[in-house]
Amino acid sequence: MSIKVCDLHYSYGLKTPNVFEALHGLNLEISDHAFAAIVGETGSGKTTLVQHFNGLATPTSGTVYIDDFVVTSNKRKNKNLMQLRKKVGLVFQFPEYQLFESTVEKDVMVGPKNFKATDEEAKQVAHEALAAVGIGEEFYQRSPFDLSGGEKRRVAIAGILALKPDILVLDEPVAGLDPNGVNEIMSLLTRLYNGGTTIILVTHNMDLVLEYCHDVYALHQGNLIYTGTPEQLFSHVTDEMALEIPTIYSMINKLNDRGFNIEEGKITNVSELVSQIVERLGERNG
Amino acid sequence: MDNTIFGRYTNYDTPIHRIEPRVKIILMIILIVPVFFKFTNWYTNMIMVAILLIFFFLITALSRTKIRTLLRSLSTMWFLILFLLVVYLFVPNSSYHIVMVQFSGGYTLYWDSVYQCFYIIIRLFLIVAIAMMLTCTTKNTDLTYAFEWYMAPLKVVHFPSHAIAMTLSIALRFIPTLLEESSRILKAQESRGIDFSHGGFGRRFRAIIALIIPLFNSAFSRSDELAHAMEARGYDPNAKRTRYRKYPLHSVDLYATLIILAFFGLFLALYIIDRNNPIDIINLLSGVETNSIFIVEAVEEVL
Repeated sequence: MSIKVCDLHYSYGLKTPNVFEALHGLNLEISDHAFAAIVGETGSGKTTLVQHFNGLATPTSGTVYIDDFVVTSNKRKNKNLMQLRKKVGLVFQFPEYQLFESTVEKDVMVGPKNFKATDEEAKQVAHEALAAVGIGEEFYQRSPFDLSGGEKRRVAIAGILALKPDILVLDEPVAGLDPNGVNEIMSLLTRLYNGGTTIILVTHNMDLVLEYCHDVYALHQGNLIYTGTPEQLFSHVTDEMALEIPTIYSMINKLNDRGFNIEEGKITNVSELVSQIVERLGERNG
Repeated sequence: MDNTIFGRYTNYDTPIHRIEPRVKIILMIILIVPVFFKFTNWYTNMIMVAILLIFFFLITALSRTKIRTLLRSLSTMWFLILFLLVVYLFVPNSSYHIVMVQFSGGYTLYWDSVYQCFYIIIRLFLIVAIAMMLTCTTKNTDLTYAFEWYMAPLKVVHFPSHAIAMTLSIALRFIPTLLEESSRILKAQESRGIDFSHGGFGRRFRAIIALIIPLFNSAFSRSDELAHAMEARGYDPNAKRTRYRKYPLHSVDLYATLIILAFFGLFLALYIIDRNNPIDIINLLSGVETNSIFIVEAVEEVL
């Protein structure tokens, strides 16, 4: 399941005086079994872009290929959208947008049942999905509206996981969660990735991008301004990109200002930074 | 999501948009009144309605409102139109004379009934379209200001005009927000395979529930938050308050008032003349001399 985007344009409010082009001809490719991040400031078109991946948004012009599925500007040609939505799961930023059933269990069963699963099958995949996100059996009969923010989000993710998508797209999955919640979600995504699912993350949290993602796509005002690894991106960030720098990289920058020669392009986590610092200190003293 | 019953405001900058909201409401009412004038002859009626339509479409063109959006209002009135058609075409009436089609089963279609029906529908359209014109060219906040201003005299009888205006403006303010939210919810549910546009009644009903519950959930939490935010800022519904915006009168208001009043005056004059001395356009057109004499006579009679 690879995604290929060709010259994608998208405008909001076509045929009104408020027309606004959100994407100006994007070209990008996300390979099979990727752990990718899409980053960019608010309003850069990230969410709009990912909504094309499962046909929720129809391009103004241009084409999106998802394996055998094609999403084009011609709505009539976009067939099999239902099947596409089963392959590409999109988790929205706010779990409140999708929870509506009376119990957690029923809510997660909604997805599979829409794809013609029987009650038994739906219940089984729902239990699997809930187990995968770490929601225990004691939650099954509770109302999804009584859960905490992190629990709601995990139930929402389970609702999509129950469709067993090959590609999982998450829009800001950790926004507003406490550090524990963030860790839980990220380790869940890592597990899913190891299980063969392609993960595409839309996020503002650069620390997570650096630590978990292998590829990063940076958007700025509807244009793709960078593709490559996070390490390369963060060692070449400029002000025009309007991106935050991960904590580790701002630390490296400060250390380098004081005469440490730390190679930026190789560090993704704290322990790697520590070993480099130790090395440099050793060089100094030795 | 944008085919609402009322016209949605589009922020063009045209003379129609610039008319002061209070003035615009009054002018709208004045423009609607001639729609109710009924003349003696059917062709006079048709010509008058045509003049109204042309005048109205001139305003529409000036305000850059799309006629298509106005025509869409007809589609929301389809049931009413159907009802009128049934009543006028199938209910016998002794005043109908001119036969259009005589069916073998004893049913006769009269030109009169077709005309009556058409006349009513076109006038209904005019009324709705004129009202839509107001909402298409006036900001919600300006409209509520105008309503509040017109309700001000009711304060004497302790009518909570400010509270009502506030409720109204908050409700109007949240329509676009909720529309946006519902389109997001739609998308979130669609990505779970809930299909809003296909399937039978049961399936669609379930799909609508999947939209309505999250929407209500968020609307309630929003209104809670708003209430808290207003309280935190010391909102007191009974306090006397100043306004952020000023609504001064401009020359455009004067011109608009003059034009509408002139148009209304013309219609009223013709209506009064017609009342006393039925205007027969066909006769009028057949002889120019008799025509002028006729009008002079009619005017004298009115005076």
